[in-house]
Amino acid sequence: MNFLMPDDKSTLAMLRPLFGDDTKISVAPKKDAPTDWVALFVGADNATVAACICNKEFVAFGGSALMMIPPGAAKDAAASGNATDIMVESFHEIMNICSRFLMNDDTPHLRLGTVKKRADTPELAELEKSAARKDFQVAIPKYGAGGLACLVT
Amino acid sequence: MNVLIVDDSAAMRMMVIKTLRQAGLNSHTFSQAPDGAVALEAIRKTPPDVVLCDWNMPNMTGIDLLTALRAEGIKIKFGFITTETTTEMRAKAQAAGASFMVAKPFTVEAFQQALAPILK
Repeated sequence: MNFLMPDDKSTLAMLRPLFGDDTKISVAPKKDAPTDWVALFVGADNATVAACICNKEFVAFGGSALMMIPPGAAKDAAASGNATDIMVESFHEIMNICSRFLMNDDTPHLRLGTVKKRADTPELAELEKSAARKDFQVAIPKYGAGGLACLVT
Repeated sequence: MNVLIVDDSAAMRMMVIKTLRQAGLNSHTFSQAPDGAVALEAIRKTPPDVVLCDWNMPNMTGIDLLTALRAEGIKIKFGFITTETTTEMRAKAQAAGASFMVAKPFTVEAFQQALAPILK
């Protein structure tokens, strides 16, 4: 791999400052693989080199936790799959922060490219052929649990 | 002290302000800008004491903002709050005149440490 694959410890180190000290991470079984939203990370030549796939619960709960949106509104959004613009913008920032944990001084540089719904991300299929993958379940205090998968080339 | 926070994410600007308050900067004034271009205009009109700036933003990046400020002779304190924390990026920031760099995700302690020399 050219880039770093986060493990549960580095994922926790990334998310705790955002969601609180009681945030919990576990490696998730593949049957719970998230499918709803995709963050694509690009290298210096703007080619896609990594991705995070998240389910609607992670977007609603994570986006809400960052903006301190009431848990009730987050749970409604998670259930319906209709995250508000503010939740999606906050989720975008969470994915931006994720970029830091996919690279270091020994890897090439990458940055967050786009954040879109999976249905609008046909380029993910090509990445899935060559990328290594790890799935996590993230329990966000006061909100709930959501799925996050990292794909890294 | 007047602190200008520049980040294209409203969520992140809010988090920065909240963390600065937790770091003990309750009595300071905070203003915000969503990108480097808006910040540059705001700084020309009313220069803050410190700029806390993201690196990657639309319209004008953080490093371009810092370069523009220095080119205009504006010497206000400038720090980055960013995911761009590799040695190469730190060197680039320092060469352009940045006083410090705080990595996202940040902690209260990271801000206290970065801002301590400026608050003296």
